[in-house]
Amino acid sequence: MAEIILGIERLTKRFGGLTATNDLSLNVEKGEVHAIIGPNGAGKTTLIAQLSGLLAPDSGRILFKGQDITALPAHTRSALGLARSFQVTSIFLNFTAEDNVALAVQAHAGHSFRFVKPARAQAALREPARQALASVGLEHRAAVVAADLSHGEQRQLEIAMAIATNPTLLLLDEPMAGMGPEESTRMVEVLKKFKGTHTLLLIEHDMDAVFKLADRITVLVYGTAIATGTPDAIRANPEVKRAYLGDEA
Amino acid sequence: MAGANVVRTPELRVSLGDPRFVLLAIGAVVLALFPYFGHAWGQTYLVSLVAKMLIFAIAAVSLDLILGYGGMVSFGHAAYIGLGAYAVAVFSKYGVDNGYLQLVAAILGSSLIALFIGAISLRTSGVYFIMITLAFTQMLYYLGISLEPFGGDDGMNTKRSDFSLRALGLDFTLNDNLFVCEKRVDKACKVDDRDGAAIYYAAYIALIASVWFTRRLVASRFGMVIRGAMSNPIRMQAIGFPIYRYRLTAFVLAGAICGVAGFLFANHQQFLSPVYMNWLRSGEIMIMGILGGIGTIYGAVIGAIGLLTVEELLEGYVGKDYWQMVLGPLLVVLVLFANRGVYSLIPHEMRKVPMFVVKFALVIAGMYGFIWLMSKSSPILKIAGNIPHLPLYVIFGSMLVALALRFRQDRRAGHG
Repeated sequence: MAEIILGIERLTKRFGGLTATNDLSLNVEKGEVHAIIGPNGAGKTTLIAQLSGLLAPDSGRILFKGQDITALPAHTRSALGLARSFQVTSIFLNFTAEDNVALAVQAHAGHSFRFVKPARAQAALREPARQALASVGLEHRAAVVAADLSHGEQRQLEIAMAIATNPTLLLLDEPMAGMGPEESTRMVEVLKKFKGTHTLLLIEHDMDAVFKLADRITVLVYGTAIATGTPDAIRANPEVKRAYLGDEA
Repeated sequence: MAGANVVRTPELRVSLGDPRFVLLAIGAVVLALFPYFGHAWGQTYLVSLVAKMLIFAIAAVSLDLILGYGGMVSFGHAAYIGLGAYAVAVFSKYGVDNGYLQLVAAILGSSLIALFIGAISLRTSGVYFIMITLAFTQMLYYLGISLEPFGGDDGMNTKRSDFSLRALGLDFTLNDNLFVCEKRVDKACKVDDRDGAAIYYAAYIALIASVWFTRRLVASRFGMVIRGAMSNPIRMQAIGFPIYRYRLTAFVLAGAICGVAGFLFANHQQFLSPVYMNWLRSGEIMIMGILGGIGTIYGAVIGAIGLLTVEELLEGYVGKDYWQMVLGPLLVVLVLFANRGVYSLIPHEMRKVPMFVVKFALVIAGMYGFIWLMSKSSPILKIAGNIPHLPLYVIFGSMLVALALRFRQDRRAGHG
C-alpha cells in the first residue's frame, strides 16, 4: 500500500444545526490525484478550510505525513508542505504576477525580518518564482499587474503561487471555477503536468476535468463520504449515480 | 474583479528625468536653504513654522508606513508624539539634559507603548482597529492630564536637549548657535532666536533619514510581507506567513519613528503638553497622509507641509477660535477631488508639467480665495464658534467623513 500523505480521521464540523462535515474519514496517498466531488452544500469547501487551517473542526483528527496537524495554524501547515488554492481567486491584485509568486517563495525562504535589501532584486526569490510561473504557462505575463490578468490567468497564477511553496500536498479548491471550456482545458493540461511529481487533492464541479485528471475519486454527500474509488468504479456505482451524477451531470 | 480600479502602489524609484524626482529634489534643496534666507530676511517665525512642518512630516511618514503599506488605520498616532515629548520633559525635570539619553528614551518608550497597543489592537481590524488605537491614545492623553509632576493639564516648560560632546573633550554644541548667521554682522542676526536653525536642521536630517529608511523598508522582504498582508491577509497565511508578528513589528517601527518626531517637537516648542496626544493631533497626522497621498511616503511630507500651511493661513485670516470650522469642510472637499493625494497628481512626463503647474496654481488661488471669503464672513463664524465645542465637532465629523470617503474608494477598488 502506498504511503499515506494525508489522513482524515472521523472529522466533524457543525454550524448550528447543520453538519457540514459528518464523521468523515479519508486517506490521500502519495503521488495520487484525489478528487472530491459532491453536490452543492456537500461540505467540500468546509473540508478544505479545515485541512488548510482556516476553520477548526469540532472533533476528529487530521494527520499530515503522520503528524497530527489538527490544532496547527494555517501558516505552520503551509511551512510543513501543505499548499492550497482558493475557490474565489485570492491573489495580490496590486502586485505583478511575478511579485505574487515571489512572495510565496519568500514565505518558505526563512524569516522575513529583513529590512534593507530590496526584495525585487533578489534572484533567490525571483528565479524560483519565474520557474513556477513557467510551470503554469504564465512566464510571458510575469510583469503584468495581477489585476490586469484574465480570469483564467489569475486562476493559473493561484496554482503557481501554491506550487512555488514546494508543497508535498496541493489542495485545489475548484481550480476551474468560472472558466470557459477553453480555459478549463488549458487548466487540465497545467494540472496534468504536476501529476506524479505532486500529490493533489482536488475539489471540482467540472466532471469532465475530474474524470480526466483523478486517480481516485471520493463522493461527498451531506458531509459524509458515500464512495471512494477509481473513476470507472465511481461511474458504475449506483448509489453515486442516484445521489449525484443522476441529478446533475 | 474590477481590474481597472485596483489601487496600484506607485513605484518609489523615480528616474532622473521624472518630474516627480525634479520636484522632490527642488523641494529638498529649498528646504535645506530655507533657514539661511529666512534668517537673512528676518523671518525667524517662518523658519520655526517650517521646522514644525518637517517634524510633523516625520510623524506622517511613519504613519504612512503602517497605513499606506500595512493597511493599519491607526487613529492614535499622536500617542508617540506625546511619548517622545514626555521623554524630554521627564529627563529635563530631573536635571538630565543629555540629548542622546533623551533620544534613546524617546525611541524605547514609544516602541514599548507601540508594542503594547499594537499587540492588542492588531487582533482586530477595520473600524475596531481605528477605535481601539484612538481609545488607547485618549487614555494616554488623560494620563498626561493627571500627571501633576509634569504640569498636568497645563503642561510644563522643557529645556533644549543637550547634544554637546564635551564629555569627549570636544567643545562643540549642537544646540547652541549653530547657524551661520551668528558670524554675520548684518541686522538680521540681531533676532533673538538664532538657534532656531539647530532644531530646523535636526528635523530636516531626521526627516531625510526617516524617508530613506521607510523607502528601503517597504521595498525589502519585510516590506513585501506587510504590503501583502494589506492586500490579502488570508492568502498570506495560506502561503505560510505568520502575518501578526510582521504587522506588529511594522507598528512598533512606526511608533519609534514618530517618537523621534515627538522628541524633536518638545525641543521645538520647549514646552510639553498632554494636548500633543489629543485625538485632534492623531487626526491631523492622518489627514496629512491622505492629502499628500497614502502609500507614497513623499506624499506624507507634502501633506504635512500643505495642511500646516492651510491651518496657519486659516488661523491668521479666520481667527483662532473657529478656524477649524472652515478647515473641516475644506478637508472633505480636498479628499473628494484629490482622493489619491497630491503626490499622485504630479505628472510622470516633463511635457505635462506646465499644465500641472497651472492647474495647481489655480487650486492654490482658489483655496486662498476661499479662505479670504471666510475671513470676510467671520461674523457668522463668530456666532457659530461661540456654541460650545462646535468647531471641534465640525473638525471631528469632517475627519471621519474624509476617512470614510478615502477608504470607501479603496474598498470599491478591491484593495482592502
